[in-house]
Amino acid sequence: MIVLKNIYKSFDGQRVLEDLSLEIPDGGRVAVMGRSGAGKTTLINIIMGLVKPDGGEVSVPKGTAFGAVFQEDRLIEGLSAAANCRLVVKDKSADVNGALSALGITEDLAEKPVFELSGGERRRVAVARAALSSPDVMVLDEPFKGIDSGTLPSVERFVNKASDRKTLILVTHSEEEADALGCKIFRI
Amino acid sequence: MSNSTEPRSKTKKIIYKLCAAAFWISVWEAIALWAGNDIIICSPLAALKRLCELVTEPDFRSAAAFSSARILLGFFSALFAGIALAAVSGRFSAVRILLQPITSVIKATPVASFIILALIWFGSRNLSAFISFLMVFPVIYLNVLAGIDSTDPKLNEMAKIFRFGPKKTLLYVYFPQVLPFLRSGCSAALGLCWKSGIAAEVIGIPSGSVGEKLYRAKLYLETGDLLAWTAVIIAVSVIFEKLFMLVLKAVCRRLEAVGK
Repeated sequence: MIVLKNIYKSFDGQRVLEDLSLEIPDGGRVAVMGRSGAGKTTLINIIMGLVKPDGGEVSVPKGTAFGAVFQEDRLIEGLSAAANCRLVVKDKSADVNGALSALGITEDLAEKPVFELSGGERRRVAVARAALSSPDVMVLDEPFKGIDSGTLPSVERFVNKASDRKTLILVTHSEEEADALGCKIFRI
Repeated sequence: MSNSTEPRSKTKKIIYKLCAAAFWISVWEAIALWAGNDIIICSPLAALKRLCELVTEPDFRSAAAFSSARILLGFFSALFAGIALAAVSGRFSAVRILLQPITSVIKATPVASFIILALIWFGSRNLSAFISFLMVFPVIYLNVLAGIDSTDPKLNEMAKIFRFGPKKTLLYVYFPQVLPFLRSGCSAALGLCWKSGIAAEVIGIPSGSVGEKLYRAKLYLETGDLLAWTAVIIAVSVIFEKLFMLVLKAVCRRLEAVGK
């Protein structure tokens, strides 16, 4: 269970999170929603241990493995899509090409350096990477950003399947996306 | 299309380079003719003749080996020290702050001051190694540190979340950023180490060095010898630079290929 109690966080004197509390049970699915600048990304960064809160308590079970889609793709530019995914794979039998192909990344595309891919393709590689890292908790910061409406349903299906029986934290502006992934909405 | 034009443009480039060399040799010849005095400046042909004689002299190889060994010792020591200390400085800001005055002082101090000081402290025999080290170290250190600083902290976060570990983080997050900085640092430092190392030998006059030969050429006003030895230094330095950069390129390619 992930527990946040009375969290405070400011950047350069600007308060971003104020007295925020949240509990996410194991296997729970939460969509964090709010206006731009409300502190959604800061909140997930606190959960993943990338940002320290100014006050409050954060409790995340020791050894929790996160699989993240960050706000930016954060791929290794010189490597191919497949190589980016292989880098995070813990289970040697994981089907990298199968995951990429389920997201519409063909074998040819998968072998191209990621800097040659379009924005939507890169985003899908980032989604595949998060899923392939065998995480306990999937943290997805606007994972469908830049993905066209034709491809979106298959990507949502992929995320749904990959996050099955795992804790899922989704940052989104869209209630439809939250519904599609069966997330409980948490507004900040 | 590009395949057929590429060799042609390469040949063109070589022809232009040869023409440029021929032009400057002609300028040299014209100045030598105008001066009409071998002590002031000898002709390119006279310098070449002297160079051919020098190559056959028994102490030519030993002098070239003496100076090259020391200058390269200085270069490689500075290369390893520069990389290692930049890595430590990138991690610990206290080390960076501690080293900042040293690198600033080394960069700003005239090389002659260091040569005279080192001559008093260590004598002349290994002077060129020390001076080469001193000139190369800040260039490598600052370049590698700039490379480390240019690494995207967001990629570091990604590496942390996906549990890359130190080896993968170094290979995939740091190396791609640092290698271009290291390459340009090495290219700049290689020229510096030969210039400063030979200058140190000319002042310190260690017996059996290229610097000693240059000093004697100056003493006896043997301009032909001076130009011939200068040509030797340029040739050795260019050959070493090309070889080193080729090896470095191969190492970089190998490192980049590891992840593909």
